[in-house]
Amino acid sequence: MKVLMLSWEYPPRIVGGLARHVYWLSQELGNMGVEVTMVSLDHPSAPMSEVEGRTKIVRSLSYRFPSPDFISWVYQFNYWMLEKILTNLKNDYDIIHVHDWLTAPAGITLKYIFRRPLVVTIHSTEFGRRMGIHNDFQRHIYETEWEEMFEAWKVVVCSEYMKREVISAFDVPLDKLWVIPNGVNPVSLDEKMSLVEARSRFAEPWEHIILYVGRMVFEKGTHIFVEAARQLLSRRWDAKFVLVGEGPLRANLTNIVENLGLSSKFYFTGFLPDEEVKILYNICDIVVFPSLYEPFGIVALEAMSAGKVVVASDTGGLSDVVIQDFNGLRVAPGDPTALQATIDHLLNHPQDRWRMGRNGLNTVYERFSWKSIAKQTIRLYRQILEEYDQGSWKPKPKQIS
Amino acid sequence: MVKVLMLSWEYGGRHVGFHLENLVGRLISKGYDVHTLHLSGDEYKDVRWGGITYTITPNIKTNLHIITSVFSSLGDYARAISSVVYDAGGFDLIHAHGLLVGLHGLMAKLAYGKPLLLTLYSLEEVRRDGTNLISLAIEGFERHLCDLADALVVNDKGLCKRIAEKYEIPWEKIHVLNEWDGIVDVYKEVLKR
Repeated sequence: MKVLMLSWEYPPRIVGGLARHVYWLSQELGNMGVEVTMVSLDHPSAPMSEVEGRTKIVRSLSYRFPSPDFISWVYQFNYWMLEKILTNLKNDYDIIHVHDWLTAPAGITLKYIFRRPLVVTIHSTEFGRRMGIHNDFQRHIYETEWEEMFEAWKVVVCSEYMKREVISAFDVPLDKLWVIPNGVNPVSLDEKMSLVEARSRFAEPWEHIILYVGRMVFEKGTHIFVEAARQLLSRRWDAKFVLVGEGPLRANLTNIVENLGLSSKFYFTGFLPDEEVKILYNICDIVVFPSLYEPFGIVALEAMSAGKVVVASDTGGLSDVVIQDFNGLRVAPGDPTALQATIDHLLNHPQDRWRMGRNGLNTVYERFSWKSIAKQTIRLYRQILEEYDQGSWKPKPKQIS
Repeated sequence: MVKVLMLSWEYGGRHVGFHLENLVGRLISKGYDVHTLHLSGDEYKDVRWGGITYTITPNIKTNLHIITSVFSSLGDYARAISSVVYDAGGFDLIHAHGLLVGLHGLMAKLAYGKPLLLTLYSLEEVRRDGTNLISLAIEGFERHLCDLADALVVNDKGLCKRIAEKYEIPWEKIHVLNEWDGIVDVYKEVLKR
């Protein structure tokens, strides 16, 4: 089976979580015998074409002519992708797979040029990201997302929550949707590393570390986390709140903490490299995800893979991932009082932390390993090809000649 | 019988659409099989004077400016081109009218290995209102298309001269035709190449 996969980011070009997703998915599909050609954009430190594992990577120009805005730039690189594919690759792919709206224009065009089925993975939507559509710029993106889902043979979403979102926002038929979660790589550490020493960099020995990892933006609910921490610290002093990530809310939240006289109980680390985040997952006691909007919540899985108990908002993909009292605890989104009470309960019950942490680890290995995600993706590809072979849209041999 | 894939933003009426309708009629009368693709409110296939027209309705209705209109219609045109290729037996030559469908023509050329003839009615430097990023992007693609098209057709010598000088296009690649006189010879020459 040969798959042509398009993504605007692929390592070393990393913008968000998509680069890691397409990297691990393509590698694991390759391990299972699927020939993936990944078409992405250029990067100063990467060759224009290479083979990594069993994945062939082809990079096209990301910039050539001026662009008046982001959408125009997206269209331009889609066109360079098309030219690259049409001049360098053969028309012998079974499936075209695109991720999000950013490579939809090229994917839809290739679907018709090659007459091959198109698979679209929706990682998030403009409607969800902006909490509605408020201007023509957003509407154009929204219509592009609608178009790619309309043109797709099947649409992949990462959670039941996203399934409901695309049905309500785009009227996608139920039988067109497949839920395949995102995968995660278990957080593993260098065994020689001293966790006690690492821990001393973030907290006193008698303090419990409550960790948040994510962007500091409104939709992640970081402000809710800070308010919950304030409430908890009014009753107990043995907690240290470590917040990893950058974002527009960071300066504001730092000011709030300073004004409350609680600076010694908070540590805003800013952006940290993956290795440092892994250390924090391992030395902390509880990981908190207070999001207000979260299509999937891969960070919750990363925390689980370190064997840590998770406290998460009962929203979006987090509701799918965090099973109440099994691998974590869910609280109502936007409710700092409930959040601090839940953290307090876990701090008082170390056996619950340990039990749910172990269960979380098992959850990651059983449901969210890349092997499992690749298997589900191959099952989807096979079903599509079966339908494609039986349908009338597939070109007859004489039509191809 | 030579099959021509005719690409245009408009068909019939005035301006480019008027000239194109005139050309299609003449080609059909000379025995050419012409498949014309253009935008319209409704999507349907129509047979007129022996030629076939495919009207294309864009999926995306909200556009910010000409660049988003042009690029977002690539998939819409690909849908109709695919129909000509897989359901109507393909084509021998692509003739694109104006910059708005030039990239669609280039895409068809690269995908199916057929020659592209591009008719330009004006250049962005004449149309634009001051220097702005939209015009600069359009000029970039104008140059790209002039480079990669197999032949260019214009209707006046001044435009021919400007294209040759501005984009460093060989003179012999540009054909100046009055009311499409001699278009068949250009087609024959491009096909021979």
